[in-house]
Amino acid sequence: MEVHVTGYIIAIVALRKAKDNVLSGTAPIIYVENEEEQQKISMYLSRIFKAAVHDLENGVFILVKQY
Amino acid sequence: MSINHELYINIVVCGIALGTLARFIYLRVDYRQYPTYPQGYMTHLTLGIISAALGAFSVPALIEKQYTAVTFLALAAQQFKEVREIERASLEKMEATELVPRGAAYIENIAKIFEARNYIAMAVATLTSLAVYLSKSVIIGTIVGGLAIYLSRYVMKIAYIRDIAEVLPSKIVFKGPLLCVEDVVLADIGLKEGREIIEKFGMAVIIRPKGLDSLISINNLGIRQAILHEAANQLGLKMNIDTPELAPLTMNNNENGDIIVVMVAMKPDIDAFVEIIKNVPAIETVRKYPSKSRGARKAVN
Repeated sequence: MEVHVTGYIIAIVALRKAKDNVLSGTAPIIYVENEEEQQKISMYLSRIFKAAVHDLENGVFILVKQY
Repeated sequence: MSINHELYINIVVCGIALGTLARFIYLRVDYRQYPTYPQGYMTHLTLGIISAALGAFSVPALIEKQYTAVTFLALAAQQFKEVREIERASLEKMEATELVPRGAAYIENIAKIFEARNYIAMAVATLTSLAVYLSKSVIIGTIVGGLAIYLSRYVMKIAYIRDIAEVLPSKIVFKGPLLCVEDVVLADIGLKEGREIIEKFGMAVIIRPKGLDSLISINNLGIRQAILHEAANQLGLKMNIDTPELAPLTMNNNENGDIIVVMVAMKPDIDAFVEIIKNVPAIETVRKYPSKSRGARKAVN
């Protein structure tokens, strides 16, 4: 059976005040000051990596790339 | 027993003509626009003529006790299998260029239909030449051939989504970042911009299966992929490769077995969307008939 990765977290965009909700992993974490900046940064990253942005509703956005 | 020259010509020409006509009728252009390009026409029509010729020649060959001619029919079957392979390979190669791929099940279905159409051409040709031989009349042969073409429509009949399920329009509701239809969560859309586009151009429909058989069939990912492909190719997508959040989605409602389809279209017309989904073929190769099983019937009752 062929095993391959279907989804991968490219980056994490977290509010600075939510920094306790996220710990380092395979993906880089980008801290931002407010929600407006969070939207902007994750939009840029989404367009660059062609990845979808998901809101975890605790101040953390993850960018997931599907293969 | 031998056949005189004139009758021989009549048998063969009539068989080939009607067999080719059968193949030509099945080459009709439809909304899938496949294979409308002239090269596709040429390939399939030529193969149709060959298969019609094989069918037409088989009757006089058998009458003249040339039994080895039957082996040519086996060769023909091999050839038609090749047609299926060619269709499958070319469609699979194009998958990478589609924003919403057809999916393996749909491709397999198309390839099988192409193979079957050649058998139809051969069968019509055989019947026609047999009728010409028995009646010694071209007119009766043509009538029998025409009748065979007409009846072949029942063999080639395919079911559509409208036959196995109801398609009802629905509404997209956002609960925070969650895209919901009828309380079923389909996706988590993080970007505000994406949510605004979906609210403006997004459409949702519910596919409600008519019974146990259609419930199992419609849950197949192959049929769901075919639905997405057809809808996306007829209404156009807002999605691009860098906006994966606008990709069309399907999800099953685990409370009642409904399938929810969401799409962000260039032309968001819900009536057209419903109509298109109703006319997607319910791919025969992946359909299941659990109602024919005693165990499954028990579970339903």
